Amino acid sequence: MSKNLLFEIGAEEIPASYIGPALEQMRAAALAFFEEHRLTHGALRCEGTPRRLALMVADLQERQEDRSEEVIGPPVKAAYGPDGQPTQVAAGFAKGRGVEVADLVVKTTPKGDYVFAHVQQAGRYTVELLEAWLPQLPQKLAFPKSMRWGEGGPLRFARPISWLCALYGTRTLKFGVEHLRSGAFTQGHRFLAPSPIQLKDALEYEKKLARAHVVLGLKPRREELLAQLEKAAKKFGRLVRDEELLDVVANLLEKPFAFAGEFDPAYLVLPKSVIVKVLREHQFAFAVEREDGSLAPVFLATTNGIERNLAAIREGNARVVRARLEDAKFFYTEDQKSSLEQRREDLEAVVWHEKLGSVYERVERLESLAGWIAERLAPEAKADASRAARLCKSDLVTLMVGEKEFTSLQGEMGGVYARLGGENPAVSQAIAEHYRPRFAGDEPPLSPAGRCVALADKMDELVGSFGIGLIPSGSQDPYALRRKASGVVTLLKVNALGTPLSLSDLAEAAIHLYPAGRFSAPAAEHRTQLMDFFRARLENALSEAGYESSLVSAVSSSRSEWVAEAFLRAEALRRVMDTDGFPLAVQAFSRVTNILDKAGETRPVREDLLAEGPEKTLWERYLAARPVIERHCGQGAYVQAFEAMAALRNPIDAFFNDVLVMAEDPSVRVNRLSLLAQMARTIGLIADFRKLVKR
Amino acid sequence: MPPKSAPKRKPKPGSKPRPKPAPNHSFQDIILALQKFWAGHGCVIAQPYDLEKGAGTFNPNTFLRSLGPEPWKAAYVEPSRRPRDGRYGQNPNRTQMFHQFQVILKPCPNDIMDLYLESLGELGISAKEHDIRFLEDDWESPTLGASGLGWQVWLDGLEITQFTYFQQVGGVELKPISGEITYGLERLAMYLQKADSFWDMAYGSGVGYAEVFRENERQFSRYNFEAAETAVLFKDFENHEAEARRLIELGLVLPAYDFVIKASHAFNLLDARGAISVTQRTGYIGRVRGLARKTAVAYLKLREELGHPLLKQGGA
Repeated sequence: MSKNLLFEIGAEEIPASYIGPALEQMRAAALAFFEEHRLTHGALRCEGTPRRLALMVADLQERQEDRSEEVIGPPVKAAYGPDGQPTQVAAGFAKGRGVEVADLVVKTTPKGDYVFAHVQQAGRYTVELLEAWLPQLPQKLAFPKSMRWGEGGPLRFARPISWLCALYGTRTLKFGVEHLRSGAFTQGHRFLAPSPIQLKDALEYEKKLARAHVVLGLKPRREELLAQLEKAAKKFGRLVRDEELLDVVANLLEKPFAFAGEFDPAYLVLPKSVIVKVLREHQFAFAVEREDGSLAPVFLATTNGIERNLAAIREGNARVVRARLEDAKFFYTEDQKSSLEQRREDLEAVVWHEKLGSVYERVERLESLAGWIAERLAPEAKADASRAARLCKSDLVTLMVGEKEFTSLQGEMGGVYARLGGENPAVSQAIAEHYRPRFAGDEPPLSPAGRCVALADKMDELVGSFGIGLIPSGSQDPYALRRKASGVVTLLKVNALGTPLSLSDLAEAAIHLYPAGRFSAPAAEHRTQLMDFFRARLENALSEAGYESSLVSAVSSSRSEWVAEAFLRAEALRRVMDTDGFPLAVQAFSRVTNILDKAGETRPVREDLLAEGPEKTLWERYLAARPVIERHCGQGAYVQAFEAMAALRNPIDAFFNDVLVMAEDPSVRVNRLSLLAQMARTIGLIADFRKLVKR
Repeated sequence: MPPKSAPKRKPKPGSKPRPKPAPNHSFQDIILALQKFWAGHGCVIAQPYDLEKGAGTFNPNTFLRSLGPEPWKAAYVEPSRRPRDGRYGQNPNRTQMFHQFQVILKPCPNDIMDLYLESLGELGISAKEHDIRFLEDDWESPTLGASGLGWQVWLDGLEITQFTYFQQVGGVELKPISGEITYGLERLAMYLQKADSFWDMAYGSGVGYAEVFRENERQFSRYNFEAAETAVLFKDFENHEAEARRLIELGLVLPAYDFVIKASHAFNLLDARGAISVTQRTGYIGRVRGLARKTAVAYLKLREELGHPLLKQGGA
């Protein structure tokens, strides 16, 4: 026998971004609860709107199955006296489990003989279980910020809880949470259906809500919103799709309604991205574009299902949009009165970081660093990269970015003003895209100059931050340094094969551009911490690219400062990993590499000290293979490099079988260790194979 | 029986359907209507506190009264000064002084949102005919060591109110919780009068808002940005801070709090003058917050010594 469960937490308007994660937690908590209590069930759904979080479970079993269980008790020695009579310990155990002492049995376990009780557990009723568990559910949900209300807690929630509706089939589940009592009443739309709605059955819930102007499911709500927006846009062009904004707006409404409003076409002098941003950031409104991709002088706004009196609503929204665009236009016009070159001077007054100096000092460094990078990665773009770096932060002191209204347009505005100020397209583009990639999965800059500036920008910040001990730990990463280091990894990766630029060289160049004495971290520690940090980001990038963890650490444990190569090495390993000889090759290579830990000082190999047989053979084969391997590595052909190395497997095995590395004669011993050390370095060009040994 | 907590409000017995107010609301009409509404819901109609301050939260009726176990309900207009926001009277909706209508309800009643919506109804704004939205907006005042969670309320896309459940004031965790409703009076008036600018609004009794305040904006913007003597202000700050400390020592917590407000305003002026660097800024804010904390703790002690008289009355 089973019935449907409904549990709804009604609340004052919950922040849009909180809803999805809370429903996810609710779902996980419910699944865990049903599993723990052995309750079978059908489909489990969690849905929410700004005013409610609901758990809906179909066909939830009405009562637990009875269960008989064998419970382990005390060891026999403690349970029975020398006379074979049960002790107090046995009696206590039996009583605790609700069985007779006479019914205890002895069983042999790996730990010895123990007393066991056969416990018959009657299944409990689901209603009883739910009435004990549901009241705890609200406080189990974690929110980015939670609050107390009324008398002041202790219960915390995203916003005050207004009601609790709980039904199991047709039965109302009864419990209390602070001053609230659960009941069979829900609420419809705050304004369009303000009376409480009584539910007779959990099944009625969604249907009754729909009648009360609430679209419960996020998916249908988002679809409805999109359809409305598209309909409203039709007369003027097409909706500028913004999936993220759709997600947000769908969670701001219980019943979507969209309408179009117009603004003065004179505002279209503003760049498209500015207008889209004004509408989005300030009004949660969408833009409309024409066939040719240019914007129509139209915004699409939404209401929470209110359609009456639309003229006034439209006018109200239009007035706000106009004021916002007017601000933006004012900024835009004012900003063009001085060039980015002139604004550079104003950056002297902008503190970048108390201990690291002004933004002006920073762009001075960036100009040199971007040029230095371009010489190595894109010599043809050197002039553009330097120029772009010189101007790339000037937009921070424009009104558009500096007034905090459109901070998220930094870079992009710089690009626009550069173009208007007559900078060449490559420079403008590089400025516009130098913050990219801004987040995981974001596109890196498209232009070579843009990539050079982006690399310089991120590396300068990382080097500076680590230099004064601002190192992310745990969840503490206020300056998003992890993301920036990942950006460096991405940027070096897209430069692909043959990039003559390593992370350590890049960091070194960046460090030297800072004035002496700026850093508090000791030089060696500064570099080590930075490289460790980059290694972790590289590992992260490799894992995200789908490489398994042992492969990732095999790759990152050697030569991790060469990013693009690391990806090539990972791909090569993935390809050879499933070949037949791989495990044996890994074993052989690992033996070579392992010995290194004991090697101590090594010297050039002296051929006169090599013994005839396996030792000499190995040396000769290695000498022949080494240039081949190095050539393959130089060309990024790591599969071939691996194969050339793997061809040495037999001589290596023979060497270890027949030759005593730790020979009595110290000069022979050092010679042997030196031979292995050389080989280990060559193997290390590909990976640290020890991480791939199957245990 | 509907659940006790159901946010639906039943009309009060004996309340008569009121005629909708005239569609044209002058600035003062709005103030009068809100005062009347909240007085009808048990609020003390207090007056603006006679010191310069950045927001109605600084008024002792909010900052001090939200501390401790005693109930409190008050509503008042607060002229609020934000020296940095001055635009010489040139900007349509940004000024260095504007007016808040502040309501503080302690403990916040369960139907506080409905009360708020009802108050909009008094201004002729029906929730069935306008898009009224509660959008996440958490509030924090670093100088007061105060923070809360809540919303900005939108009326057809325009932010007209800040709605906050205080969690902490002067660094003290609150219990019970106060609900704070802060109407932006100029915004509301602009909307109700369909004006595009503060300077086109009617103040009341036939006088325009511009006549009352525009010259004020011009003069104070000049003072804030150009004329204020920073050496004097720095000295003021030091003096106010020292005086606040001294008075707290003497157990004169109410006068001490005046000097906290004064120190905060001196800091705001210095900030507008560009006299405080980014790094110094944090330091100054921390100093004011330190004073706010001391005051809060001293005030809690004072009310305890007085025996929490409002509790004995069985609630305000």
